Amino acid sequence: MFKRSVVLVLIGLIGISMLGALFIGPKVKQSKLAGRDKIAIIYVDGMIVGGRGQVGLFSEGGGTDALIRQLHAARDDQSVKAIVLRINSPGGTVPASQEVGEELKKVRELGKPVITSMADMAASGGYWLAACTDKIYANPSTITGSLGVYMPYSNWEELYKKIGVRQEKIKSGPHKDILSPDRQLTEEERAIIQVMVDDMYNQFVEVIAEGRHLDQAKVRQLADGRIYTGRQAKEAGLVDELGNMYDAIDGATAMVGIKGKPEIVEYGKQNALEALLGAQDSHTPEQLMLKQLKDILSSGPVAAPQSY
Amino acid sequence: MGSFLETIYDVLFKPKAAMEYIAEKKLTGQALTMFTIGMLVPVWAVYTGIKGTPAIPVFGGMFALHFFGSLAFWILGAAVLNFFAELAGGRGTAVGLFAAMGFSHLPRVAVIPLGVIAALLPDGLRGLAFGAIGLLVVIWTMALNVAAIRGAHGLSALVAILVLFAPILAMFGAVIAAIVFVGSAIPQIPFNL
Repeated sequence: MFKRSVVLVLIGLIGISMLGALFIGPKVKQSKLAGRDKIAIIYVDGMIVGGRGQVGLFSEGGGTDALIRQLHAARDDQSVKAIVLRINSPGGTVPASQEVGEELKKVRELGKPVITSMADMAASGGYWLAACTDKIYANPSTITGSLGVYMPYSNWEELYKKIGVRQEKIKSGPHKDILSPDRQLTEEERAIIQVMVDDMYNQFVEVIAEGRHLDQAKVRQLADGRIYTGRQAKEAGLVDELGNMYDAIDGATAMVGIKGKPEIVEYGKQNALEALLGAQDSHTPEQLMLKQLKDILSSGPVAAPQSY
Repeated sequence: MGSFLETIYDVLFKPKAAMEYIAEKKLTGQALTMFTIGMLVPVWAVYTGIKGTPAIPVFGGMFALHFFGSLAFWILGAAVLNFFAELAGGRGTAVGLFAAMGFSHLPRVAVIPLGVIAALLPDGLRGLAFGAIGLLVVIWTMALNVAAIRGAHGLSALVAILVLFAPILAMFGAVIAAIVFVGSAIPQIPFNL
């Protein structure tokens, strides 16, 4: 009887506690669950290319799919108050840069600011992404700019002749093998490609003019393809502040009004196992060129223009 | 001993004797009741905390995952510990140990009253108090697990502690062996630098 009484008293205490938790629990638990305000850091390293990039056993990397997923994760995390986009990229393809840029705009429209921090280089497609963010930080010696579009094309006609290779094609239309490396571009084809490049360039100019609040004529003047240092870019209005990633984090912290030190959360960071067995994190221009060469040598005539 | 309430009292104040009795009588029904209560009470604490937040839709799924995950851990844990206890010379049954280990979920019930007291503390002390409660529950649970192994298999306290940590030690040994294996294989991979 004594044992039962003791346990019943304890059960009563637990019952009272459960009722008490209804009133005092929410305040405490909500603050615990919310945690400290966070600043997310998302890295853009190497060439910006569309798709999944390289897929490893435990991860994938280098493609915009993974980058966009990281953006969505940061967008959906209520404790993330701002995103710092750390760009170290020489550029990439126009569609890949564009699709990430559009996602950045969507994240900003939801009230979550995105701040760019340029590392060694944030040129061309890298700048496209930066132009879609709220504020741009660059080191004084960062290489940026290269604002423009080009379509690479190699003519290996003479080489094929030397090694005795002659490509035979049955085409559905006169331009189906446009940009094929085994023959010279015709004037008509060159005009077609030029119109495409101009259209992409115009889109790029519009993105910069809109993102940087600059006149399109001024952007066209700056966007002749030349590169700028971070300091030159600031003078030209292409960059807001000179500073490193920590300055960008401080800027983001101030922008969203976080009091004290924010918690930093890095997206896309690989653990040791992923680093050992996962995909390579980024592409280099050499890797892409080698891949293109392999594709050309191993496949039929497919027109797949790359522009960066 | 006899009723569920009396068993609880004995687990609280005479754990070794209580665990011996539970294992001998194989009180699996009472153990399952204890396990369910040990799951539900902390879940209530979490529910009161996230009530009205965007996290509530995933609450049911998380609870189900936690419940069945803990149940699987209890069953597998009892099986593995029974194996190690027998290796250490224990003379008990797996079902007896399973029943006794079910009552090691009792400390989880203490989370609610202690948590409410901690929530009333000033901001600076609150975090510390929550940490202390977590530590207390972990230590108490481990102590009851040791008592369960002792009670079910008649082992000494030291051997029971070794049995409790044996799976972790075995896993640690396997990881070390794997690291040595991988480490010896790495120089054979032709890296291009």
